[in-house]
Amino acid sequence: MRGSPYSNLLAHVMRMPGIRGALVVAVRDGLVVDGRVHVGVHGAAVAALAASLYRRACRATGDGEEHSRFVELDAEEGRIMIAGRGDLALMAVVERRANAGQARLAVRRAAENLLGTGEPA
Amino acid sequence: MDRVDLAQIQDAFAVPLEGFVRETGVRLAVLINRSGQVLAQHGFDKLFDLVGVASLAAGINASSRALASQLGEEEFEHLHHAGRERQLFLGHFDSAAGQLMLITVFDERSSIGLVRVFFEEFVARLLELPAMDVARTSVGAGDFEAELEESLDRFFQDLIGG
Repeated sequence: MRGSPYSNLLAHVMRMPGIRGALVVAVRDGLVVDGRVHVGVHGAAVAALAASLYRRACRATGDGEEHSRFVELDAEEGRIMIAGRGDLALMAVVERRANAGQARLAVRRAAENLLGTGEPA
Repeated sequence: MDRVDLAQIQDAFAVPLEGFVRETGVRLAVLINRSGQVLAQHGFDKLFDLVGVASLAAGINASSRALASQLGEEEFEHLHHAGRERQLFLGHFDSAAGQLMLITVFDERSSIGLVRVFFEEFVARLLELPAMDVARTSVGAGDFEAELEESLDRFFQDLIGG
């Protein structure tokens, strides 16, 4: 999906060392709007499962999905970071060896630009 | 397909279907063949008419194949209908028992993304079942035709109170 409105945003996140995938995902549907993933990363599955986790986290904390949120899944092999804005979320698949602090910052900053990016001028 | 073979297949299909329901959080799921015959189901009770849903879904599938043909496509991959509270997904696949279709209804507890991801896993599990070999030897094209007519007749008779 080269040339989509989210290309620059995703490219910025993917430039971070240790990021194996970056996806813009429709939160309600769990479908990939645009994404870049390394070989071996099943983008559609990550998007669906992480969106499900994100929605549940929003519900558990009593806030709607329209609020800005950050959810991180810490696993043995790495992390999944999810930063949401409205109906969209930016997700990153992060290797264990990556600098988690820098990755969080990059994902959060990219997510801040999500809402305006896809809108027509 | 005779009754003994159908019972064997229904038992075998229940396990992967329950797995699909557990992983996706869908409310209703039913596996049917091309004629609308129910092979396995989860979640249907008095509120939802299983035979009606299966027959209508078989009809939708037939219509969508005809529409795909009109548009120069061999067939559409999946069908997804989204309502305000509930959504419907129809996914079909080829098997030794002919074309089968999974119909599932879900709400905000699941999503079309989850359903699509786990549908692929469900199909893979189903195709590995030994029961598919039973189906291969017991189902003929003539049976499909007869079953389709019979179940559609039954459904429409129910609708008009005949």
